Parts: sequence; C-alpha cells; structure tokens
Amino acid sequence: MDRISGIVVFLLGATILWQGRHLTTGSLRSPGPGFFPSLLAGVMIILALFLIVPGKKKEGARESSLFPYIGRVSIVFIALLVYFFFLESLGFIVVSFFLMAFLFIVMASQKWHLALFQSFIFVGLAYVLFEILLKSQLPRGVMGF
Amino acid sequence: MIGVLLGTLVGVLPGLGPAATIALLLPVTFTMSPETALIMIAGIYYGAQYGGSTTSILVNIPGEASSVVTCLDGYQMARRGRAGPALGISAFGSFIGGTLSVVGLMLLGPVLARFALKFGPPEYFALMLLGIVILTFLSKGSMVKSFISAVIGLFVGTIGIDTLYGAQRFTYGSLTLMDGVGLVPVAMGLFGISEVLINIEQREVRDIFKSKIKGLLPTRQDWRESTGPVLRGSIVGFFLGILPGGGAIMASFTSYAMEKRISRHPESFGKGAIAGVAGPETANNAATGGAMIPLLSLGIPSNVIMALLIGAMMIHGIKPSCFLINEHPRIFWGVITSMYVGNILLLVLNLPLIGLWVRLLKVPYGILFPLILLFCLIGVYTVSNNSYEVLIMLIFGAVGYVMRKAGFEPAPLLFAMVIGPIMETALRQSLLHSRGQFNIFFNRPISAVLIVAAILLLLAPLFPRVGRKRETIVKEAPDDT
Repeated sequence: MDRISGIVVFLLGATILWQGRHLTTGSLRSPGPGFFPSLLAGVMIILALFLIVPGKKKEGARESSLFPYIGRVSIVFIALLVYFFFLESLGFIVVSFFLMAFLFIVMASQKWHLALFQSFIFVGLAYVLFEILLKSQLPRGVMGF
Repeated sequence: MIGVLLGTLVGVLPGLGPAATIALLLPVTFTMSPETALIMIAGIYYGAQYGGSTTSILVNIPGEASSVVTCLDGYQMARRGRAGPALGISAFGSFIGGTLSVVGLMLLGPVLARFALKFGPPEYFALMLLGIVILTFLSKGSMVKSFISAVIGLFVGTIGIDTLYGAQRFTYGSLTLMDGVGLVPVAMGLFGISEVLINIEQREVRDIFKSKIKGLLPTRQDWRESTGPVLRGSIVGFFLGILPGGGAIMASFTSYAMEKRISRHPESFGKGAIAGVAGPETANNAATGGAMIPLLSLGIPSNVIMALLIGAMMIHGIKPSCFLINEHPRIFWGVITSMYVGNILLLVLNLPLIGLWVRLLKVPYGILFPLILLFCLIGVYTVSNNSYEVLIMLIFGAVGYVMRKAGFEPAPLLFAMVIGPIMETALRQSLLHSRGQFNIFFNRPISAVLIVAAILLLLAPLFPRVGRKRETIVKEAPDDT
C-alpha cells in the first residue's frame, strides 16, 4: 500500500513538473511563477522515494485495504456526482429530494416510502432555512423552482 | 450564543471534530457582519471543543485530538458513576483556562504585535516552515506521509493567478480556478465528505451511557485536587498554544504528563483521577487564547482551526496582519470580547444541556450522515452560488477518503493550503532581497532560530527515544487534528 501511494505521489510530482513546464522558473535571484511549484514537485518526488523504497515496517502503522467497502462508498460518491451534474438543470429541490431518499435507503436501510417521506421533510426544512430565512439563492432548475 | 450551541451540538457528534464543524458552519456566517461572524466562529470553536470533551467522558470517543487525554481518566470516572463531577470539572476547567488565556491575550497581544513588526519575509517563511513541521510531527502516522500531505496542500495553494507576476498557474482556463481553490470546498470535502464516506463503512455500536447523570457539581475534595492542575494547565496551555502547529494537543498531553509526574498518587492516573481531567481540559482551552496571538498579531494561523478563521476573515474582506489592531480595532477587541462571552456561555449553557447532548448521540448514523452531506452540499454552493465549488468539494472528498485509507492525514494539507501563498511570497521576496542567497535565512537571528528548530524537529524521529515518544503521542489521536 505504501509503495502504491509512493508511486502515485511520484507521478503527481512528475505531472506537476510537466504541466508547469511553460511557467518561467526564473532564477534564485528572481524567482518566477514556476519556481515554487517546481520546488514543491521536486520535494514531492524525493519524499515519494521514501515510500517506494522499502524501509523498516513501522509497528502500528495505519493501513487498511481499500477494497472491502469500496462498493458502498462508490455508490454514495457517484450519487453525489450525479447530484452535481443535475443541480443547475433540475434545481435544488428536485435533486436534493432524490438524493436524500436514495441515501436514506442506502445508508439507513429504510423502506422506500419512509425514505421518501423523510426526504420530503428534511429537504423542505432545508429549503425554508436556507432559501427563505438565510436568503441563500439556491439553484432553480429549468422548471423554475 | 448560537455559535456555542451549534458548536457543541456538532462537536458532541463523534467523528466531526472542531475543524469539520467550523468548515460546515462557515457558510452560515456569510450573511453576517465580520465581527458577528468571527464571534460566532469563536463560539463554534469553544462549543466544539467542549462537545469533544463530553463524548470523551461519556462514550470514550474523543471528539477531537486534544480530548484524547480526557478519555483516559474521564471515562473511568464516568464508569464509577462520577460522570457528573468529570463533566463539571471539565466545564469549569475549560472556563477558567479559556478566561485566563483571554486575559493573557489581551495583555500580550498588542505587545507581540509591536514585536511582530520586526518580522520580515525571511522570518515569516521560517515561522511557517516551523509550523508545518510541528504539525507533521504531531500528526498521526508517518511523518513522511504528513509532510507529503502538506506539500500537496502548498501546491494546491499555488493554483490560480500568481500574485507577483500575474501568470495563470494550473487553471486550464477555468474561471473558478483562476480565483484559486477555495478554502471552504476543500475543508468541507476533506473533513466533511470524506469523514462521512469513511464512516459509512462501519456500522458500529455506540456504547452510550445508560445511567442518569447525577450530581454535576464537583465536591470540595475534587476542587482541592483540581485547583493546582487547573492553574498549571492554564499557563502551560497558553504558552504552548502560541506555537504554530501544535497548540491544544500538545497542551493537553503536556499537562497530563506534568500532573502525573508531580502528583502524590501517580498510580491513580488512568483509573479516574480528577486531576487527569482538570489539567488537560484547562490546558486545551487555554491554548485557544495562545493560538490567537500569532493570528491576530502576525496574521499567521497556528493550527488548522486558526487557518479556517483566517479564511473566514478573508471572505469578509479582512486581511489579518500585524496591523490588524490598528486597522480593524473593532475586530481585534470584538474577538477578545467574544472569547470572554463565549467562555461564560459555554459554562452556563452546557451544564444543563448535557442530557440533551447525550440523547443526540442516539440518533442513528443512517439519518445523520445524509443530513451532514446535504448540509455540506448546500453550504458549499452558497459560498459563491457556483456549482463548480460543489465539484471541487466532491473531488477533495474523494481525495480525503483515499488519503485516510492510505494513512495520509488531511489536516496538514488544509493548513499548508492556507499558508502556502503567504509562504511562497515570503520566500520569493526573501530571495529577491538577498539576490538569490539562501543565507539570508540564517543571517537574521529570529529566522535562524526558527529554521534550526524546524530542522531539528524534522530529524528528531531518527533518534530512537524521540521517535518512540512521538509514536505514543500520536497513536491514540483520532483522525481530525
């Protein structure tokens, strides 16, 4: 796991160097906009090597495998991404209603009718609090609400 | 008042520490005036700290890192039916520590602000470097990983338009990114969203205290045993709070260790010694006053919470610096007053409400977490009515989740992201001034001391004794610093 993290960080550092190649690094006398990012990328690459090259295993180091729960977590995350994609087009009320119902079913294992009801209550309360009381101007969809 | 209530409410919930709480409640402060917003945030911070102690004592789950020590003796006291005095002394100790540290802040703040005028770019750079090193030293897990986290944070801080040359860096034409990556989406993503994602993996049973909590007031004996720890904790907490990076955590651990060492009955520690609750709880609240000093006099955050406070100030158009006292005296004294008021309110409001907080812990996670997610989504959207901020939050939520699973701490990332731009400017100005010579950092005494301290701390874990000590300190700390 550490080695994989190290490789990811290494690649991140390399990507930053590559993507920032058009920025002027300048010189030590007159550091340009690319100076600090390049410096950071360099430090990142060096630190990544500490992870990639195996050292002594630290006792009690926190490591957990990603895989056992990745399904559940991914479903929730994808639901949130879908929320983002439809937020402006369908509006706050509609998207939040469906998201909350979905989450209540997945996370609280509720029956769909209870989930829909609770979603209705909570989204309604949130709307009153943020849109009406705090005047937050939440997104309205193409339907106007 | 609302801040304190909200803060305690959210702070009581295990899993959401003060950083996450403040991040979640930040958007609520946008519609207020700057003074009110800061007062509310200070209230939230106190409330969250206190809420953290409540869960430590009642449920043995520390609300945040500085409450870990409270679990040791506080929970034991609760198990012996002495939850009341534990909570009581925790509240009183926090009040006294907080109040004394505010007095200290009031007296020392203006003095330090004048001293701060001696700080040039090299000193700023050195101080912030030290802050990052201390934070990585105290973070859970490997220092290399925490440092990587901080470096990533520094990089995220460079995204946007370069202040010295006006060049666009890593924006890819996005209007949203040209303003830089916002503090609120990152904070909410790293601490709010990722916390929920981690928690939905577990279906843990919470061992909540079933028995009634009677007799909140500590006995005379308790007071006698606690007076010393409280006073010592205040002083220790205040001065340790000033140090960037460490603050409340170091304060509470140091106080505990000190009390154990000077106690006549050290063997009682870990089994319900009231001094083991009084000292650390006082120290971690006293640290808040100390932590405000670099913020209000230099404009540098000493920990993640202060970084969020700076973010909040900047959103309201106030740039914290050594001129804060002169340019915005209302803000400075307003924050001080709010701290006094916040402390009093904490005491007055929380003691009667303890029963309520405990009942709150019984709300099932399945209801709570979707609500937290909704709150995050709304909150981040309201920052600038830009749905792309939601996307940034989600991205950092995923990043935060993966980071925690891989053993990287998110707090250094956020801290570094806030101080990154200041640090970069300080570095570049120093090099411009010295025509590229790095010895400018060592020629000036303050800067030299700070840099040497940072280097020593970086190398310290290589020494077996220090390395082992660090492992002990960070082993038990929960996720959010």
